[in-house]
Amino acid sequence: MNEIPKETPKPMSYSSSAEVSWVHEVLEPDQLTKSKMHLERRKLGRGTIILLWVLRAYVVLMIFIVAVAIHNAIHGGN
Amino acid sequence: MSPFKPAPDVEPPFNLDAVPAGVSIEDIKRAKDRRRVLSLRCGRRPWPLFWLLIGPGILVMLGENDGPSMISYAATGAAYGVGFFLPFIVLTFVMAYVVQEMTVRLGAVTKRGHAELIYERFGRFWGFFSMVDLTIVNLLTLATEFIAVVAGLGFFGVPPVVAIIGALLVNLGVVLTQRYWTWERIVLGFAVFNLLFVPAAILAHPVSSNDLVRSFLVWGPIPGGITGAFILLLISNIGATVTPWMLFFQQSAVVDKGLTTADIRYGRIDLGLGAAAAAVAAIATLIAATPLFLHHVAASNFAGAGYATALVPYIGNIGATLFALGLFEAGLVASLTISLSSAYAFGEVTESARSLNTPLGEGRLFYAVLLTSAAIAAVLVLIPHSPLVFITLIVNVIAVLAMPPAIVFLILLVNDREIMGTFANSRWDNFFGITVTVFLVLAGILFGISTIFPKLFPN
Repeated sequence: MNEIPKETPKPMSYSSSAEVSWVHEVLEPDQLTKSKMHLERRKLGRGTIILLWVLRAYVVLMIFIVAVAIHNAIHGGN
Repeated sequence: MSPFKPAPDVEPPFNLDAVPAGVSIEDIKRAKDRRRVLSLRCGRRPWPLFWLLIGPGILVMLGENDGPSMISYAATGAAYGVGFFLPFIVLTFVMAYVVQEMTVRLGAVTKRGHAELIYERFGRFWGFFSMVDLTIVNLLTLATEFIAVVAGLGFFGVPPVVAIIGALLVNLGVVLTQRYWTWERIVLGFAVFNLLFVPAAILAHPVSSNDLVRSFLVWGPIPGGITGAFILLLISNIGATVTPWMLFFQQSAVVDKGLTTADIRYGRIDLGLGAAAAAVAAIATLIAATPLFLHHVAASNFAGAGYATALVPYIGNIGATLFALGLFEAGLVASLTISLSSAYAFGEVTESARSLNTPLGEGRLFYAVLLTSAAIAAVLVLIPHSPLVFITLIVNVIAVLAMPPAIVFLILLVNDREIMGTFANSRWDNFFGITVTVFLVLAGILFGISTIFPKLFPN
């Protein structure tokens, strides 16, 4: 007489929705890669734009001055 | 009842080969890390929680004690000894804390990296400028990190090519962990060795404790007065603590680590610890090199290993070995953090992968930028007859000059109440932030004047 095969207990399984819920419960909405919303573009005031352009000109000027410093260093300037 | 979000009880056995729709592998890895934080927070275990939350602040500060920075501090000690620069270095780290603290809040509140925020709030036009600044400064700085790696290992007779390949392999190996948490812990382990300069300074013990205290009280002496060389080192020391990559790295690391507004307090502690440790290492480096000043050793043309070799008669072989190892560590850790800051920024502006939690297959571009930027910089170092010492010092100067626009973007963002809410800057935050910006602009102008009119500050 054949023995009735014992059923091995099935491991507890998680549905994919349970896994998703777990992740959503741990992380905040903006931490989720697929649900992060784009921020709206901010309107910059005139003063801010002028300041940004002044600083941009400052950086360009300083690049030139660094080039002069490098030239002086290579050619034994002060 | 705890005010904090409770941790879910049971973590599902995720199969990363079959990720459910609605989440990504990056989300799952980050959620696993965050669950540990939530569990400890609800269990009111502050020290294990602190251990979990530290990282970005310490890494950004010790990462900024990079090759050119440590060489700058050594050059300062060799040229000026213990005096004005001791309290000045502490001041620069205070400035760095003021600036970096804003990135902690920005990242924790907005959950976005620095480049991503600039592009989204200010548009592609202004974002492009900030990316150009970051790319140029990062590439030059990365080159100097490999200079430091070569210099440090050169003390032990390791050929430059071997040193560079070794450092690149470390970069590759750490990145292959594909997990932000693991990458962070490994690099923190490396970064601790920045404190090797402390025993080197103890072995040097060039001055008495009274001289150290006096230097802080009188902010002096300044041997030789204010010369062109003094101004160059002044600017270089500022650039050794505040650079654009730090803003991008720390904010993105805060996001990659998954920090939230509940973690801001620990983020500040993490940053303060990092600033304190880095300041100690910086001062120790200056002190360790001071015997060269006291014995009138001409150090102006030393490359990194030159300092270690020249210090042997004064601090012994052990001290010089520690100095060289510290230099190697400085270059290695910075190569890891700076290349990552470039990859973060690239991923954010191209809206592609931007996390160390991303699998290699999904983040090919992210990892390619990270490793390629390091490789390009490494190759530049092998070009013969490059003026390496001057490049090392001038890179810090370039970093200072590029900072004002970067800090202005930062201050604009952190004052933006639409995104920051109650975590926007207070009046005092703005006062200190604007003061730092003005200070950096004035420092740049001083450098410009000393370069264009060198006779005003004769050496």
